Amino acid sequence: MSENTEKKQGFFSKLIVENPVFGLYLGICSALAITTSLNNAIGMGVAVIFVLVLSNIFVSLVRNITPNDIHIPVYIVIIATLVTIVKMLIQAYTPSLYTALGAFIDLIVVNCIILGRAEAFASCNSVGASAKDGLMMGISYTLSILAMSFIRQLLGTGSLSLSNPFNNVTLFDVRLIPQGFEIPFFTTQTGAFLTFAILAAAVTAYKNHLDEVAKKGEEK
Amino acid sequence: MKNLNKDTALYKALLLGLVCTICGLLLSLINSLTAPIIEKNALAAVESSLREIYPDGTFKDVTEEYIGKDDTGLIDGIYEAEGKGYIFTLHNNGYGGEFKFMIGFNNDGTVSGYKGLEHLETPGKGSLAFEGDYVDQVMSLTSSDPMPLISGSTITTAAVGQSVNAAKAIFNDIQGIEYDPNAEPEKPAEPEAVALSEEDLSKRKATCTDEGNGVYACSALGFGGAENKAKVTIKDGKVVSFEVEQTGDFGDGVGDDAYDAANLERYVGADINSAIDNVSGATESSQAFRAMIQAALGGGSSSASSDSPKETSGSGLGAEDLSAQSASCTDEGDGVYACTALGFGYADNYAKVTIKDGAVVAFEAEKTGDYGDEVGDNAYSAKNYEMYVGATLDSELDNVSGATETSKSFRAMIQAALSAGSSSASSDSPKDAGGSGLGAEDLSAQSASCTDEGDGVYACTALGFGYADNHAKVTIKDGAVVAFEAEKTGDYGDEVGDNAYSAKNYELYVGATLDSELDGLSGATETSKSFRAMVQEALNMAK
Repeated sequence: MSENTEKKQGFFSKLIVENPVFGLYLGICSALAITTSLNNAIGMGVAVIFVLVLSNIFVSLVRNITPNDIHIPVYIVIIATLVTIVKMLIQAYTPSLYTALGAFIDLIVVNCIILGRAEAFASCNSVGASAKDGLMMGISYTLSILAMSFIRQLLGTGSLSLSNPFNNVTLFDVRLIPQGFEIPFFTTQTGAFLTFAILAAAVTAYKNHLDEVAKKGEEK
Repeated sequence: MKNLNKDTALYKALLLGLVCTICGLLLSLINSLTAPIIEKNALAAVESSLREIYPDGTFKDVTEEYIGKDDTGLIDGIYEAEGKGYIFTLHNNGYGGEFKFMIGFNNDGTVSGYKGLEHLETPGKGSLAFEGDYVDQVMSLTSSDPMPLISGSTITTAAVGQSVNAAKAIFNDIQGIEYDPNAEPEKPAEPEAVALSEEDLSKRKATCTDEGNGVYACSALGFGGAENKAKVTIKDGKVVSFEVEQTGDFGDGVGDDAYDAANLERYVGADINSAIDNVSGATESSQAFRAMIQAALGGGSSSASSDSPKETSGSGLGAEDLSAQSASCTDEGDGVYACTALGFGYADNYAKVTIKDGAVVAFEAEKTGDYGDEVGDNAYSAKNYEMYVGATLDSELDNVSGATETSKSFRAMIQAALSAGSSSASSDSPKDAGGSGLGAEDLSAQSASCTDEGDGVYACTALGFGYADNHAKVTIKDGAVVAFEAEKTGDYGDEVGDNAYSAKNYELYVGATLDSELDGLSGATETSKSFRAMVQEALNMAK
């Protein structure tokens, strides 16, 4: 295999295997609650990326001057401030998204991914690396909830739609399942759990497959 | 800073303090940027309502500024119309639940606008607080005047008044207007009390049983048609005691004042010429009490101990106007008529009426149609059916006490059956035909539409009972219906109008032309109308 293909494969697998939602099981509550439409998923994803990247940067900046026993309060203040800023921005510029996401914007503060990455990576790595890590994790999270939203919106309402949250202009709205044949179950909480379970199982299967390939590769 | 050890408490405190300060500054920066935009968005939502009062105004949401002065919690929003005045959006609990409204005051204190935003008040009672005369009344007030009450909607208008008082308090405070916050509203315009001998209380359907010794056990209908019972003791033409035995009033807290010992005293010593006031807020209960006393005193209007339906101008069942009951009967042969009519709450009542030689020999109600439990149930007993046996078109039949609507529907059915042969009788000829025949029948309410499928076949749909869609295929040849088949039962609910869907009944439409007169099917009037509408439409399209 060429180096490039290997790198690409590695990147792709990393995205799936070290996926925060389906691989590491972090940030699940928002994944279950707001993934009813593509709009919500993108909105939430962007908010999380914003918070994740900036919090990683700031945590990395203060990592050397923060004594160990107060590092939690410091990180939390930083994260909470960033989330509040995001909330104010969303409320002002994209009110429809604000109504759709509601309390879950505030819950980004306790989204395990943020504090998890701050603890696990940003507190012991350089600013640049931390920023990159935040970005990767954020994108990975966004892709996961996009996948869930895609499935839930398609099966649950029969159509896929996206609108510009700044002015509510519909960008596209395409019906893929004929009216009357959609399964509204998927827009409920139970449907969310089911979708999550299926995707998590798929990711684990892929993980196992990779392990097997690696083993075989070793044996050779 | 270099000398400061990271482990000291001072350092930690300083670091935390610094982090919080920086974060706080950042937050206030962003807030100053976004807060005006958020406020503008929120205002845009209310603005359309505000513009109804000041169409050209520039509005500012000043709720945050003044809401602290309000203790009542009834104010939702305060908006300043620059240079013009203030608008308050308020809420409170009325008879039907929470309602929202807004009131505007010009800067000089006069009311600039008053409008209900959402409410669930009873039409004709509580809803009057947001309509017509009351609105005009409020618009003529200033911020110093107390809010008036409407008799019969005292709960709603009192609640409105309470909210407006909260708004007035803030407004007068802002403008520096002096006023008396405890001013009593004008007493609701009560109709002047009329002497019992002249008062028409027939609506209360009072009846009394003479128990001897001047004691009468009476009953009459109070608020919401519920039964009130009382014992009235008469001596020398005067009431010596009035004791309420059963409170019939619908709902809690409504009309309770009427049962107060203090308010009951007004009936003691009354005679047939006394004029007794209503108890404020308990108008119907008061009327019921007066009706019972009137009946016991044996005078006054002819409503005394009989419940003769007041609506007859002539006399007897034949002349009684029962058109509101929309009775219709199908002749089943042998003098037996299967009838239906509207009872209480517009529910269908069904009965079989057997007529012989122009008189009712048997009357049996088949299905209780009355809406709700226990209302009018007493009308359905075999004992009460006996009232109808032997009835003719000249009979005068009483209502069963407490089941007026049901009794009316029974009488309507009997009237229809007895009038067999006259135009309203056993045929259900559509009453709305201006000319005659299906072509002229006004079935526009059914909104029929047909698609021509070719070969004279029309796939039609029309609205049936409960506005549900009915579908049918109508085959037309040479201007007449050769086949009619309803495809899908559209009727809302079970068992309603199902009889219309039988093959036997479809035959009714075979051979129909635009000149035909088609009967409605008993018990499936709306469905029949929808079928006729579809046939009419198909015949028109086939022309």
